[in-house]
Amino acid sequence: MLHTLLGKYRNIVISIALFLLLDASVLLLNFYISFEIADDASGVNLSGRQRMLSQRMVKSLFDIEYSMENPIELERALKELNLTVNLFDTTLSAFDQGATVTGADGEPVKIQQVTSEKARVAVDNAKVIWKPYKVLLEDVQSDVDLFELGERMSAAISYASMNNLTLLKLMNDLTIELEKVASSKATRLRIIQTVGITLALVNFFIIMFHFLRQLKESDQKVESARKETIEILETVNEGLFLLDNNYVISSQYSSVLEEMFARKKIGGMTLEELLGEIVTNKDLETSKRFIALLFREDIKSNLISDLNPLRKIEVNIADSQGRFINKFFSFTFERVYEDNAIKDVLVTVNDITERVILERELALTKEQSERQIEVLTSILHANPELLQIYVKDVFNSLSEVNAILREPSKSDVALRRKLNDIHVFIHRIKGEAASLSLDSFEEIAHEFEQNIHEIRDKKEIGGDDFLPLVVRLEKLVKHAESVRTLTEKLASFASAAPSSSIRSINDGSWNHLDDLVQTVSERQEKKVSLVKSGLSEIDLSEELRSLINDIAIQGIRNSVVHGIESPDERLELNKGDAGRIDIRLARSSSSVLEFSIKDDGYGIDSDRIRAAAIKSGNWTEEQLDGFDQKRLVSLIFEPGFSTAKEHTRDAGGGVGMDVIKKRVNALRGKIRVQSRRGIGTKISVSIPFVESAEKAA
Amino acid sequence: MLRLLIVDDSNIIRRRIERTCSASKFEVVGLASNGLEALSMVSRKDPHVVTMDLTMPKMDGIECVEKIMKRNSAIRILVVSALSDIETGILALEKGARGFLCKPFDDDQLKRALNELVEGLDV
Repeated sequence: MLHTLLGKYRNIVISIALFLLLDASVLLLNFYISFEIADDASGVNLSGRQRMLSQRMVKSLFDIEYSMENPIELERALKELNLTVNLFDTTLSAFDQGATVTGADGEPVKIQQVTSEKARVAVDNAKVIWKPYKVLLEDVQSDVDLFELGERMSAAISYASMNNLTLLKLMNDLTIELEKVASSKATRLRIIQTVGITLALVNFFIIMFHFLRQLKESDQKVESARKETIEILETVNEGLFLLDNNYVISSQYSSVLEEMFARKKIGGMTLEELLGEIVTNKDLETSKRFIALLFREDIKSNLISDLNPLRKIEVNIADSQGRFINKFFSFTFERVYEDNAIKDVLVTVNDITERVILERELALTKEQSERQIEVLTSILHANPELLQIYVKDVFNSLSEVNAILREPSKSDVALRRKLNDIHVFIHRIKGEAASLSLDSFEEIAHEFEQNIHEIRDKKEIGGDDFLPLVVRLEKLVKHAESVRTLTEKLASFASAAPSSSIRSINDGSWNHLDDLVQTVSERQEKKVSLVKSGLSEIDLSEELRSLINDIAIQGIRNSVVHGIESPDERLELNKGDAGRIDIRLARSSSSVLEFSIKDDGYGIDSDRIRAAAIKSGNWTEEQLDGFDQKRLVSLIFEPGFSTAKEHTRDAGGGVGMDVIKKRVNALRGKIRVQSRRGIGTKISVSIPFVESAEKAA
Repeated sequence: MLRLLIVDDSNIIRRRIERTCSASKFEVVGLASNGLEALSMVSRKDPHVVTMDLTMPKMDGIECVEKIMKRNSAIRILVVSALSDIETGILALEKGARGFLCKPFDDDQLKRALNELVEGLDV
């Protein structure tokens, strides 16, 4: 722990510790020596006092001599001598052995035994002189008569006069020696202080130098790392930033991020501020929840990467001119660890718009080629001559539609009429495509029809509503062109190979109607069989053949979708699960052609016709109440009438019957509908007829 | 051996996971086709690991994850579901599941996900 704590600061910590240790030891030494000097000073002081005391003893001796006649004075003088002798004696032995004595201020002072050679000599010599001197002086103080005192005084005075100067000199030597010792200690102290302070300063400068150099080095490292990071962030093509667990973006991020999001100063923004305006609230919330999972230690990031809601996201970003541009971004998230804990999430943003567009183009191309194969397959199965007629018809119809679209019209009524007219053509294209099993054609026409229904269901129609139809028309034309190309190529193959297996309408089989029944009944999940009679026995003009074909197609579709019940319903009605449609063509007289289409289904449901009529808004309930069954049924020939619950590919067209009626009327024919509930429906058409010239010939 | 419980309403998926895991360090201790069955198997078989479908009859995956976590939060749950709804997946993880594997998956993906899921699990 300590080791990691010290880490790279170990050297500097050691240096500072050394610095403090040095300072402390200098201080301690200083204390010690200054105490010693203080002791020495008192020593010098006391040895100086010894000088004074040696002279005071002489002075006391003379004082005693002068006071011999006066007992009071004598006693005072003796007392003073006593004090002086005692003080001198204790002080001298203190210098000799070391002891505590009374100082000048009456306080006890500790004196160290003198050790220096010269002082030792002075003290030893003084002791030699002092020992007899002290005896003589004590003798003087003994309680004796005046005569005896005189005797002892003269002995003491004579000793004093002989040795006083020597003693004084010795005490003086001691003082000088002690002064010398003290002064040498002071010098030593100064030297130690100087050396100590110098060392401390040197240490301090070493530390400073070392520290500054380290600081500079690490600063340089940090600076170059920062530069490298900036260079990386300025160069990478991805948007890079760190996100913390409060969804706040790091201060450093790649420059391209600003371009991508057309924003400045992204650092410090929250994710919400960055994405709020360009993704939906739901996506933003989901993303935040996903990122929260990334900060959970118990979840492995690999195991949730599939849940990234921003892996491919469509965004709307304003460019420099304020135009909104649609782009696709891909966000990826990586955890960033610090000390084994998830600290941030590294977010990488890529602009994948080009990739997405390419993918879409590829998918479109694939779809187109699949469609072409499908067209080719259906063409191979269809009758080439019929196909050629069909394609020709489609082109005619489409140019009609184009002409109708270009017609200027403004009022709602006029626009609705226009829509209806277009519908007639498209519905026919769709029906015929189904009969030829041209699934893709049928699908495109169906989409077109759906579009028309959408417009028709609007409360008010404007000219702009027709714009999508132009696009649809273009698509149909393109498709028709590709079918034509293929048909032509195929026709050239067929002519090259006379034993072609492709069946021709000239064989009179009208087999495509069987295909239609098959296709529509499969889609409707019904069982239906078709019985044809007379179709191939009469030679028809192209016009009549086309009309009868259209009636047959429309009739079959109506019968399968609306008339014939589902197998279950039929079984309940004891009808047999498969329905039946009869198509019959015959000449009733030399000049009248009779065509009928009959099914054994539910019959026309007048309630449904009524409901549909009310829904269409063209009739009121009161009006309909006045209609008899026949009149109600005749509504199916009204333009735009439909009873289908929803517009499927097979039904819900609603223009079929009125178109047929128009065309029959145009040939001065008649059309009749018979229907019995539960028994079936029959549509009969009679048309004035002249047999075609070739056949007649 | 790690005890594995497979929860999915599709018989095919259950068999596939079972087949993929039986040759590895997992011992398949149960197959459940809905959340209720899964809960009773959790009590009886005490699995270490559960693979969990989200859309199931009777009790859906989210509720099941929640209840399993209440019984034993140490069980590691890998959600195996289609990506139709990312939010439901995230919700399952918020409720205590530990990982998400997107359907359709191949055997390697499943093995990798399960191995990662049980990393550091003491038996």
